[in-house]
Amino acid sequence: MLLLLGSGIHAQKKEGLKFSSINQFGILKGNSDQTFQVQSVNGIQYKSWFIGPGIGIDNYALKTVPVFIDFRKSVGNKKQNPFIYADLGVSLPWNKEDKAAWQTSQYKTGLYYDVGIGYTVPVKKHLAFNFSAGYSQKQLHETRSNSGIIWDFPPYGQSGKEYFDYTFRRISVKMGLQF
Amino acid sequence: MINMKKFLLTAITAACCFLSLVFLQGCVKDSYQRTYTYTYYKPIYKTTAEVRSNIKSNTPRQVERPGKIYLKGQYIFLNEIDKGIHVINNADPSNPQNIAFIDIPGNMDIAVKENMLYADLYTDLVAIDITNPNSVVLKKVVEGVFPHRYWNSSFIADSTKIVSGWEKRDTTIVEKSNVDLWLKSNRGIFFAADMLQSTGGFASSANKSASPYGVGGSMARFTITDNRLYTVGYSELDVFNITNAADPVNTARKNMGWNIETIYPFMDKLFIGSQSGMFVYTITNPDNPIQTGEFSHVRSCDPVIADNKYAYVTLRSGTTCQGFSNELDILSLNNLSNPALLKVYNLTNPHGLSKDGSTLFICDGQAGLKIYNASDVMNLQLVNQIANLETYDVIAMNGNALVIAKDGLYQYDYSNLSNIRLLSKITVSK
Repeated sequence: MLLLLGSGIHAQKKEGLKFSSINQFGILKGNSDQTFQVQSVNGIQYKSWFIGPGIGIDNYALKTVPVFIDFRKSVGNKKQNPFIYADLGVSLPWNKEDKAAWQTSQYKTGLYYDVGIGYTVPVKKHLAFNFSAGYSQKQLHETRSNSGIIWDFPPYGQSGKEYFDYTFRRISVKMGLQF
Repeated sequence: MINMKKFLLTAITAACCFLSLVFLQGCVKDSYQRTYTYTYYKPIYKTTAEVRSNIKSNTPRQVERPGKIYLKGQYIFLNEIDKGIHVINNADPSNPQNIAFIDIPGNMDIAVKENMLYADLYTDLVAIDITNPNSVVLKKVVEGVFPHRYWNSSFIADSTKIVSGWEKRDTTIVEKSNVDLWLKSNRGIFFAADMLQSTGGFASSANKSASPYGVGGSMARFTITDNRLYTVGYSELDVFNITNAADPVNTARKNMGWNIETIYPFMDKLFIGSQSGMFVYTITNPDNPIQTGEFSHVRSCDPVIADNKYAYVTLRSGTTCQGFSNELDILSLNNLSNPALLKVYNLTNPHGLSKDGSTLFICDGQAGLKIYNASDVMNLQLVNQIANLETYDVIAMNGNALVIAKDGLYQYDYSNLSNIRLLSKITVSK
C-alpha cells in the first residue's frame, strides 16, 4: 500500500489518480477529558473521492495510537467544497503495560472510528486548508492484576484479575493542511 | 452571485458543524464494563465437642499451606496453617513419610517437650500426648489464653462455635458505569504512569503459603525451656508451667508493648523480636520474666537466633511490619542489658535463620538459602547458595537442613558445604 502511494508522491496523473496527504491536529472533547489529537493521512484522490491509511496520536483519557482507513467525499465540483469523512480502524494502546506499586495494567487494542463533516479551502496550488468536526469513538481493553493484600489469615480472600472494556465517546474537531 | 453562493455554502457548513457539536454533547458519555472474580471463603462451623473429639491422628493429607515446623527425634511436626499438624516420619530424610494429620482448627504454633506437643487452637492451648505419633491423645485444653486472634474483612465469628474450615466460593461480578464517575473515585486508572510508590493502603503479605506470623525455627511464637512453655501473642508474653507435661498451667502474663513477632530461648534469657526491635528477658525466675535489655531498630519483622556470643537478627521489607531494611544484624551479647550492634549485612529479603556450629543458614526470600561461614562474624563468607527457591525458614542440625519454602519442605545434606545435596522434598499442593 505504501509503495503504491509512494508512486504517487510525484503527483503523477494516471487516470485522474493523485497522491494526497492530509496532516491535521485538533481537540477531542468528551465527559472525561478534553485534549489534543494529531493525525496524518496519506492516500489517493480520485475526483471527489479520497481513500488512504492514517495514523495519529489520540491523547484522550488513555493515550492511544489510532490506525485507520480514511474515506472522504467532497460535495460539489469545486476545489473549495464541503466534504464528509469516515475513519475506521483500531486504537493501539500507547503503553501496553502500566505498573504501580500494587497494581499492573495491561492494555489491548480496541475499535476506533471518527465520522463527520468538514470544509476544504484552497490556500495555494496543491495546498489546501481543512477544517472538520465530527463524532469519534474509541475502545480499549484493560486487564488489571492486583498484587496487594493476599489475605493469608481467615477469612481468606483474594481478588482475581479485573477486566475493563472502555468506550470513549468524543466530539472531534480537526484542522490541518492537505497537499 | 458566485461569491454569494460560496458564502452561503460556507455558512451552512459552519452552522452544521456547530449544531452537530451541540447535538453531540449528549452522546459523549464515556462508559466502561468491569468484570472481576472474587474468591471468598465461607466459614464451616463445628461444636467444641466435635472439634476436640477430632484432635487425634487422622488420615494424612497433602501439605497445602506450611507454617511452623518442629523437630522431635525422627519426627517432623509441620503446622498446616489454621488446620492442624502434619506428622512426618523422617527416619530416612531422603524418603520422609507423611503418616498422620492432627486436626486442630486455628492452629498456628507448636512446641514439643519430650512426648507432649503444645499447640494453639484459636484462643486455647492444647496439650497432646505424642508418645505414639500414629495415635496421639488430647490431654488438656487451657481455654482463652490467646486473645489476639483476629480476622480480616470485618468478619465476626459465631462465638458459640469453632471455625473448623472454610468453603471456597468464587463469584464473578459484572458492573457497568460511566467512566467520569469511576475516574473521580479511582483516579489511579488513568494516571498509573504518574504514580510513584504506594503511599499506603495495600501492603503485600509475605506469601499466601506462609503464616502471617512466620514459620518455625527462628520465627516461632512458642518456645520451651526447662519446665516452662513461653508464648508470645500480639502484645503479651504468657508463661505456662509444664512440670506436669499433660497439665499446662498458665502462671503469668506480661504486657510487652505491641507488635510482638517471635521468641527464641538463650540460656537463661529469652530474645523476643518485635516490630520495633529486640527485647531481652531474663528468666532466672521462670515464672517472672524481666526485661533486662533492648535493641531498638527500624520497624520490621525480626527473626532472631543466638549462640554463646552473638545474636543474629534478620530484618525485611514488604510485610505488614512496613519496614524498609533488608539485612542481617549481628549483635554482641557481652552486655545483655544493651546488646551492641556489631555489623550489618545487606541481603535481599531475609526471613528465618539457623546456625550449626560456625555455619549460618539464612533464608533470603527469593534469593534462596544462603550458607555462610560465620567463624568471623565481622567477615561472613558466603560458601554456598541454593537459588531458585523462595525460602522462609530453616532448621539446621547434624548435617541435615530442613527448609520451608514457598512450594514445599526441602531437606538438604550439608555435611559437605561445597556440595550440598537435596535429599527430599515434600511438595505443597495448590
